This record gives sequence, C-alpha cells and structure tokens, in this order.
Amino acid sequence: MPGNNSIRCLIVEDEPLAREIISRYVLQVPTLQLAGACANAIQAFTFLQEHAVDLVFLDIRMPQLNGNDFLKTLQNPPKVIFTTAYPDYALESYELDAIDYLMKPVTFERFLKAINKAGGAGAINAERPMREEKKTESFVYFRADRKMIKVLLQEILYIESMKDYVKIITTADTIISRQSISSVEAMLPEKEFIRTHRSFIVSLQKIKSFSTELIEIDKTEIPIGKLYRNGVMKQLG
Amino acid sequence: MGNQMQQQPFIFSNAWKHRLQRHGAFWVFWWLFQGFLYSFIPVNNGDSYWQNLEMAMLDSLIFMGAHIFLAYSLMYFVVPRFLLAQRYRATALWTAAFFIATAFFSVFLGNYVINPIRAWLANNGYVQSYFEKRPVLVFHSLLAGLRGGITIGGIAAAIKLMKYWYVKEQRNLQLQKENIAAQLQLLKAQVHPHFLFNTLNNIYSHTQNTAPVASRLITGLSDILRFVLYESSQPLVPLSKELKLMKDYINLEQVRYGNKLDLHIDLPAKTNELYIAPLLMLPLIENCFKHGASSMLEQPWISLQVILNDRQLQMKLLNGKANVMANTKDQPSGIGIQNVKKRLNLLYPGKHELMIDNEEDVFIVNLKMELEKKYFTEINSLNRSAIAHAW
Repeated sequence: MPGNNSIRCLIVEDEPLAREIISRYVLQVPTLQLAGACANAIQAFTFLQEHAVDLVFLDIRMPQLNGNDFLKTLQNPPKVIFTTAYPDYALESYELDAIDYLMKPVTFERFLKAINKAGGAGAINAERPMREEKKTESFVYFRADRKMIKVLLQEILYIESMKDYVKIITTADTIISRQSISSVEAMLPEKEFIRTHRSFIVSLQKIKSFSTELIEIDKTEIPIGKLYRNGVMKQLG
Repeated sequence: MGNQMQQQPFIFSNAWKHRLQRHGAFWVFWWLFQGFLYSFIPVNNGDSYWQNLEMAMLDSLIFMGAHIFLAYSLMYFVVPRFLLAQRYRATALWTAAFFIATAFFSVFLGNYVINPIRAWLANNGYVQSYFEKRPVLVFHSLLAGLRGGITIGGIAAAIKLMKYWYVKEQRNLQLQKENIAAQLQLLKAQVHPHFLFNTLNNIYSHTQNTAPVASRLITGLSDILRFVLYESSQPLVPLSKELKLMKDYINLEQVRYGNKLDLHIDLPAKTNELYIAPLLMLPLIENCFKHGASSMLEQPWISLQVILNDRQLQMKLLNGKANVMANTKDQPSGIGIQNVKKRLNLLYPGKHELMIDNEEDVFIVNLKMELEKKYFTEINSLNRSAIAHAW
C-alpha cells in the first residue's frame, strides 16, 4: 500500500464504453486512484512491468488473450476483480482467487461492494446514498360506492360481515363493501389480523383488552366465537 | 429409454436372463394351454373328456416343436426381414411357406414321433388303453397342423409387433423431448449473450448520467435476462436471487403505469440460505400485471408480501382487477397459474399450499411452501426430467 493510502487501479477491458464506466466509478471514489486503462492483455502486461498496481479490473473475454490466461502468466498478480458480460467463467475465476466478479452492466452500488471486499473500506464513506427503497405502508383496496378506496392495514380496527357485505371499521371511517368475510381474511396477513368469530376479524395490535368471551377494540365489544376461541387464545397468549 | 421399460425388465429387457425367463414362461403356458385343449376331445364316443389328459400333454409337448419352429421363424425372420422392411409381398409368401412347412412338420411329428411313443407307453403298461392314432389322411393332418400353427403364429407375431410399436413410440417421445431441448439450446446460442450483454452495457454507459431511470431499467432487464438464460436451468436457485428477480420484474412493469400503480412490496431482507425451484413465483406476479393491473381502468394496485418463518415461505399477493369480469368467478385460471400448480405438485408434493381467490375486485394468491435449506443431496431427488416436463 502506498503512503497516501489510496488503491492504485488498472482497468483491462476491450470495450471502450465499458472501460469508460469503470474509469468513471474509480474516479468517483476518493480512496481509489486510476493508474491506467488498457484495451487488451498485452498492453496490460507491459503496463504492469513499469507501474505498481494494487487492483486490476479485468475483463474475462478479450481478443488474443483472455483475462484468466493473462492472470495465470503473472508472477505476483495484484488483486483482481473480474468484469464480464457472461457468467460462464465464474467458477474458474474463484479458483484464481478473484476478489469479486462483476456482471455488466455494473451499477455503482455493486462496484462499491466489490471495492469494499478489496479492502477499500473507506469507499463506503464516499458512497452515494444508496437508492433506498422508500418503505411504503401496506394497504388494500375495497370497492365502496362504486369507488376504489385505499385502506392502510394499520388503520383497520376490525371487520364485520353483514350477509353479502362487509363493514370495515378503521380509525377514520367505516367502509361498506360487497365482499365475503373469508375473502377479506385471505387478503390480510395472518400475523396481524385474526378471525374471532364467524362475522368478525380484528386487528391484533388494536386490541385493548380481552376475555375468553369478548375482545374490546375502540370501545366496541367484539364476540369470540366458540369455534374460534382456541385459536384466538393461542394467538393472544 | 422410457421409464416404463426400465421398470418392466421382464417384458422389455434384452438381457439373456430376462429373455429366457419370458420365453420360457410363454412356452410353458402354451404347452399347458394346448394340452388342456387337446384333452377335451371326446374319447370313446364322449363318455369321458379327462382320461386323455396325460396323452394330450404329451401331444402338446411334441407338437410344440413345430410351433416353436414357426413362432421363431416369424418373429426373427419374417417380421424383421420383410414386414418391417415394408416388403409385404415377400412377407405374405414367406408366411404362407412357413405355415405349410409347419403343417408338414406337424404331420411328421404326429406320425413318426407321437404314435411310436404312444405304442411304447401302452406296451409297457404306462397307460391303460392305447387307442390307435388312426392313420388319417395326410390332408386332414395338415389342416390340424395349420390350425395350431396359425394360432401360435398369430400370437407370436402380435406380441412381437406390439413390442416393436411400443418401443418405437417411446423412442419417438424421447426424440421429441430431446428435440425441444436442442431447439431451446439453439435459441439461446443465437442470442449471442456476449453481444447482448455488452450492448446493454454500452447503452447503460450512455444513459447513466443523462437518464437514470433508463439505466435502472437496463440493469433490471440485464439481470432478468441473465437469470432466465443461465440460472433458471438449475433445479434450485438461492431464494435471494428469485426474490431479486421478482423485484426487477415489478420495477420494469411499474414503468408502464407511471405513478398510477399503487404498489406495496414487502420482501424478507435475509433469506437464510434457502433455495427454491426457479421461476415458481414469477408467473404469479406476471399474472397480476397481465390480467389484473393492466386491464384495469380505475385504480390499479398490487401488494406483495413474502414472509419467512424458518424454512416456511409465505407469499401473499393481491391485485386489484377490473370489475367488468364480475360474473366470471369460476373462469379457469390462466396457463401461467396452471403451470405453477403443476410444478408445485411435482417439485413440492405435500410441502406447499396454494390458495387462489378470484373475487370481483381483487385477485388473492396465498402460497405457502417448505423450502430446502442449502444445497443438500436431496436436491438430486428432485426429478430433473419432471422439471423439464413441467416446462
């Protein structure tokens, strides 16, 4: 490792645009230093004789000499990250102690992961904020009054069936929809909702108190059916 | 070749042991059958049918020589040389020739083998009464010989031909299967994956800074293609990969809706090194977009939740659907879903539960599966051909 603590990188890649992508990525990470870029294995061989390099991004499929064979010719090979379009050589590259194996197109996030494996731990600081999946709330839709109404699961208090309809009581509203209570039951996650009665499903997190006969939610008392009692008691512990 | 044939070596094996067994069984059966049949010729004007049994068995045994001659001539000479070579005239001539030869052979056996033995048996007291095999007209004798010959010749030829067609049929089926596999290989090769992925990479490099959405779509598409082309031929893949595939697919489909599609995805962060048969869950998601969300006018919505409980996977997939098909509640589910059902039955027998509710406004899929932990040898018991079949 050189004194300035940065990793000197060489890119060996026959496709110019692919070379460009990796170069761009290397330049974006402060702990990396771009030592050079070669279009084929012969160039790389000469380059390595004249320059010290810590890490090589090596394309596997190249004309003349492929990446694997090139690597075998080196006496003191630097760390290697393979880049390829083609997953067929994956096994062989692991035999050659490659640090990682990048599939084209390589995203920046994936690139950083490989750099971290190569010991460029500082890279993570320079990391662009990862595309964080914004956590959406789970929801379902019910049809009521010829409209589709979105209901967040965490707002549901309980559900009551009335013949061909169900009444969905939420913290804000009461929705009446033409659907069977068993189909509503199938829509709801079984860890968060429980059928307590032929005509009732309740939200577990909304239960205020319960006895063997009744459950209290939002000042409403909901009966526990005989057939459902064992299951309910098991769930409520 | 076909499973059927390996399971029934007695019938289909060409090993000498099995051949001897089945031919032996056949001729023993034939000897007894003919013996009983001959014994039913009324003796002494019909007072008894039975006293002749031992004699009949003897006759049957001796005449079998002629029958064996005929049966094997037909099975191993006429059928393969002429019939299967489609030389029908030669077949007819040779068959007739063998029948006549057999008839003469029978006459010879009757007059010069059976009669002397009968006489000898009677003279030495082994049988009580020796009724003379009256010298009959050679012509009658010939007809009698033909009668037995035609029966055995017909049976032998029928068995031979039946087996021949069955083997041929099996081979055709096998060839068809291999043909399809070969075609698939050819298609894969034609795509030139190196060219394909390098080109995608080039497009990616152009769009990366200017069109982030486009470059995200390209990486998604590349990952899906890679999975389908290379990984899906494995019997099992890591669950994490299958989940990623589903996510990539949804991301690609989502673009078609702009912001109109209300989507909720909840996938497990850790997959505990579980493995799953590839492309099992994807068709269900495809189905959402095909029959649900895309055909819907008002508010398209999809909710996907996958939960892991030790080795049990639970998937809940909901999608809104258009109300126009309100009264097609029991319409048969699409080919994609049928296929998933078939594969689940083959690959996870007794280890899965698939419930599909097709409601007026919502399509509900609840799938539970018991997955494999890591790559155990049990995996080999997942019948590869079954997988190929289901596809």
